[in-house]
Amino acid sequence: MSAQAALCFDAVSVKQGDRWIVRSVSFEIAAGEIVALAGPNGAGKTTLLRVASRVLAASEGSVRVQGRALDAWSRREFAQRVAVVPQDANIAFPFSAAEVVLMGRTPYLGPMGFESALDLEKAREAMARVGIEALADRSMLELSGGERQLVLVARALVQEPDVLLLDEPTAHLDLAHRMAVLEQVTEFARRGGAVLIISHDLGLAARSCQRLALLAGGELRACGPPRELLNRTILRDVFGVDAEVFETPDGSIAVVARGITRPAGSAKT
Amino acid sequence: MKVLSPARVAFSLAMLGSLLALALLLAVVSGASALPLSEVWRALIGDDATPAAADIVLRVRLPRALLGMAVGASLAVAGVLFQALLRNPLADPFVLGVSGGAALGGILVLALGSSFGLGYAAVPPAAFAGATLTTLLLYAVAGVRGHVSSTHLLLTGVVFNAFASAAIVFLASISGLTESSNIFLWLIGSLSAIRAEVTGWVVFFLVAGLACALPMARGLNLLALGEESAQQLGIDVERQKRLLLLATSFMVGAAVSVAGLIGFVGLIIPHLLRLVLGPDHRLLVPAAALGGAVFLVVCDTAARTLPGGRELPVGAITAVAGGPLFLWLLRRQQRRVFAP
Repeated sequence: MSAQAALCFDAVSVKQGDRWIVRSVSFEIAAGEIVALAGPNGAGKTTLLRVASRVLAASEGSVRVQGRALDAWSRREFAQRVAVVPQDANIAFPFSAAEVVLMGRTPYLGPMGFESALDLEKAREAMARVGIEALADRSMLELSGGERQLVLVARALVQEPDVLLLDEPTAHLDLAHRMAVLEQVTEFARRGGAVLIISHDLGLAARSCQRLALLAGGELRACGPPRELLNRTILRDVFGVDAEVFETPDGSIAVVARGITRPAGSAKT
Repeated sequence: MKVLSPARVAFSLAMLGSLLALALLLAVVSGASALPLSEVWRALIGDDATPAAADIVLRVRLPRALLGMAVGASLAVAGVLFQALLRNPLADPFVLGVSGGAALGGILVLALGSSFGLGYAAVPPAAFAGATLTTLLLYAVAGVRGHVSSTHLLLTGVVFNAFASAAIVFLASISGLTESSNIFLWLIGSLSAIRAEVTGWVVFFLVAGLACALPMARGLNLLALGEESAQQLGIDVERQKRLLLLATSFMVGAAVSVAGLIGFVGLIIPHLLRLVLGPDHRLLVPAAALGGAVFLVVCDTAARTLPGGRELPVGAITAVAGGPLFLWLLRRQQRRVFAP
């Protein structure tokens, strides 16, 4: 494993109670690369992402960001390198979209931290990029799930990280918003950022990611270019479904599940 | 794009400061004995007022108004902090039972302390202990893996309040306190029994609590999106929580030691201020201190100048205002949760 990897999982295991949620997972993501993390529910995807964002400690193994172990970073430095887009935000108080986006500037401000004109400019730019300038002064409580998701993407961008971790960022989104988010993720990688994106949408993974990591029962079953991995055998092994893989005329990939080959959840054994 | 600027903070706090000055003025000129404004003014600036007027203004009304300020500010700031830490706008030291825990601690000392040689000075530390233990209990009962369920939290608070009130009455009656000291006033909350020796505690912990909370105000904003989000933005959430829960327990403990169970200040004031000023804690925390001070001073002035010449405990007034507001907030929160 090279020290240059932007994000590196080295034999990461997570144990909760007596149960191994994640077992000896190793892979790395280079700068400029997008890796999709897929697998059945309960496979340990979100757990892995929580380890990488330092809110959960690995029981064994380690995660490195730019060659440095997670503990070696100060909280502030780490937040300047790694940003997270969570699945959904339920917010407790009526903060406006702009205020939430500006929260992304926290790792650059002092504790009493009032934002500078530059911070405001960056927030404005990030909101424009995901197309939510019009929502700036609206309360987060009034926004739809999809709009809130875009606010969280803008917040992560304004954090100016080197590594972006996304947990099913497109789950609540309609097609147009889904494209908008993916475009931003692709653009982020094109500028040299590393991306780990959890997604249930294998077609999307195939379209926008260089590599696909398939997790089942807490173990990494396969990791490689999506086109190589998306076939009947692997889909049956990982997801327990009988699925067909189609290629559309423009080269996109669609996965269609025909039936279940084993009861859901048995993949965990 | 509307964002909080230092200028807006300064302006809002200046406005609230002026309101507080007006409330103080109102408090020192009104009372059972009618003193002309000029007489009150002379007493305040130490210019030869009649001894009676000087006595009323400087020894009765002013200390009581200052105590009201400190208690109101402490309760409102504690409310804001609880709401931010628990991510729940319904959290309030009284509703959560933290005030009740503090009162129980205080009463324990009053009822049983004399057998151990403890005097009134031991009441505040016992109240801090009571408040801290209640907060820990709340987390233990209602919190699962850092997520605190609203329903569990409020139920725990209600049940604990009922328990604390019953225990207080029980302790008071077995130790004969019911006649000697005004247990009734403690239970409903009043500023009429000013204890100079504990007033200093209230001010001290208010200042200490603010000194703790203000540098963390931005971190409190981030908590609105959840503890993990705040952590991912570089906030040491555990440290912040520990420090602020401790500060809150101390503020509540001190306030309860002097004024008993004045309810809902920590609910009403943060809610009103959030409507007017927005949810940003960099403004909300200091504004709650000023707003809580204004509110309690005004309520207390009303309580002691009611027609008929009888004084009402100020806690009765805050509860009459706060109860309906609480129900309305609860209803609104449910609608939000269950909305399609």
